[in-house]
Amino acid sequence: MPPRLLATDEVEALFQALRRRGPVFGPAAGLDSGARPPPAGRLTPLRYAPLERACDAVLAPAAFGYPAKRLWFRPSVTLAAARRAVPASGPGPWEPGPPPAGAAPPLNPDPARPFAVWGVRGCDLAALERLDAVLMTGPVTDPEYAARRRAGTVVAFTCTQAGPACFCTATGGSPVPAGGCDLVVTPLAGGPGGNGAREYLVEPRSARGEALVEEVGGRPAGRAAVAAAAAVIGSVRAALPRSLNGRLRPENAAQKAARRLDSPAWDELAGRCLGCAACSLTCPTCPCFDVVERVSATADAGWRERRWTSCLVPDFGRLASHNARARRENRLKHWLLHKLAPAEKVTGGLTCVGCGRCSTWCPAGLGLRAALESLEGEGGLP
Amino acid sequence: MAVPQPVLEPMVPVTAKVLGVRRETPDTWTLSLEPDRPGLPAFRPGQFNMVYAFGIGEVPISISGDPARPERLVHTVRAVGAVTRALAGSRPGQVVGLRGPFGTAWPVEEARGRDLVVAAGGIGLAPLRPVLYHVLSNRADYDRVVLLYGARSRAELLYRRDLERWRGRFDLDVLVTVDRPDARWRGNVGVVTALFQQAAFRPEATVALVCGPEVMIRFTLLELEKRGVPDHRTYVSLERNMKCGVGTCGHCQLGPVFVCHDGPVFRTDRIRDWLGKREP
Repeated sequence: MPPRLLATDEVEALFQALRRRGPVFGPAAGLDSGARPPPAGRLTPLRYAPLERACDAVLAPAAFGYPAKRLWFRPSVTLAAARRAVPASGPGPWEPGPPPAGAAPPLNPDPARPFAVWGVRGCDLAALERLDAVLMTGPVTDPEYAARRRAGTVVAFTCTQAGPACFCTATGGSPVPAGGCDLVVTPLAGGPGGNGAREYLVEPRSARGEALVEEVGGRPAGRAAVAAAAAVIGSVRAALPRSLNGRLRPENAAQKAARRLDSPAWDELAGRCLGCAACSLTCPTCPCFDVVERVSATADAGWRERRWTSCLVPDFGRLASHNARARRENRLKHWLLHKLAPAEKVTGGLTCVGCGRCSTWCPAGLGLRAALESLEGEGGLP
Repeated sequence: MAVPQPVLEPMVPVTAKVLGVRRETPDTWTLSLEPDRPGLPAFRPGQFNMVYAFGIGEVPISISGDPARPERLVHTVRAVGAVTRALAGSRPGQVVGLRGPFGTAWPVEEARGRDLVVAAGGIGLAPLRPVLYHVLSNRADYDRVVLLYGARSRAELLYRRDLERWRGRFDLDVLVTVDRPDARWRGNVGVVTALFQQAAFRPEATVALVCGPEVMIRFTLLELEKRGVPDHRTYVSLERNMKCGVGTCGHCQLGPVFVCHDGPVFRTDRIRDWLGKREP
């Protein structure tokens, strides 16, 4: 289906068409109920929340908010439940089976329930492709993740503004969403973030996307509209960096960093890193998880939980006998080299998608590009 | 018994009954397990299972039994952490969880017609025992076979009965050394690499399999290199923290590889860049 041109009210109709199918999540300002407001002047990340109207979505650069990954790859998932066994049937305190009523572990919401994600940026879409390679098309399929991927409709938005931390183009990405989604929306004219746009170029990328556009109508986009979109994209692209840092380009970044595994520059970098893991918890591509045993307050039920973790946490590589990455320097090195590694099944792209969240939310002012800079400054990178 | 509510299939263990627990050394026990669900895939020498003590946790443990008898899963566990202590303390009839078998295997097929050097340090013998079972059941397929085994002391030698039986064979060289001899020790004293002086094998026709502490692996690889065994015919098995066992959770990553999925058995030349680095 060729691109269509939608007016603001038709975009709203599109949004409402999605809402009739299930909740629509989009980047929203504000705090979770009960959360304490931040000190005055302190930024809080936007987060994907269920929205009622299209105009409630805050279409800021991706780095201003949490990644959308939590909608598919949830921060915690119950893997199995167990009940207390007296006498114990195994060496542990539990035996498998449904826990007693009232002590049930938190149930996983039905992963097959339809939902939509509105306002996904190109970098987050590229990140989703990388998560797919790990959790869906890799050695094994995570059924929960795969079900959510099938259930979720993705409406991606072209960036109309380069954020201060953005560097997608330096990782092989683009401000135009590429890859698996249902619709790509390009706001044609108007204020920053596209919120002030009056017309939107909408390109369906899937049968589901086409059906949605059919439903709301719009009109075929003429040559002028396509040219206007290209102009918007061109101006954003011009504002984005082409290399990660100096001569470090996506195709040579991993090699160059790997050649400096024993550089003393890592130690200096580790001296500034606080090891808080904010970079990887806000990273849209980080797929690592932990498996933990949980116990109910009454201690008569237990369950196993898969939950997010980070390779920057000291226990991440710990074995009973020793810690495979005992020093922060090594954890940092591991994280950085992984982000610079070529992404699996993505031609010419890095694992890092250049969203800039790691530098935006690092309390020590580091993040991927700053880390590379300091390595270079120390003679660490050629 | 009820089965765990399946939520994430690759992450949900099947239950297995403990058939027997045998104390090998002061801190090491061997468990024989029988899965409650038949039809689990057969294992290949070198692979591991995730073994789960309900409510405590799950650990990757190599399978150390006979691959020709896959219905009985044998795991040798050193009690060093919460989970391994619980597993070591399990009693026959009790129930543990199992997922697997996972990971790559020792190249027992590729080694056919060649000399085989099996070098193990400490509990590193556990993932190599299935190789010896396999080789001895198919002895005509291999030329010279040498087992080099080092332990800290006489009391810490694993699989004493197997070692004694193997030493009685004329078609297998078994060389054993300990770091700290006691008054009753009559054998070799020192590190595993010292045993190479007595080992008869043809470097150019040898496949070497190495497992043990990383420092032992490093020095054994140096020794093999010195003796002219090319690094594309030496294999090592590595140990890392693992949570999923299926190449997803990220804990076991070593540079670009997942030890659980691309390993634990690696051909040395493929990970050479990452061995001996400062904890990459």
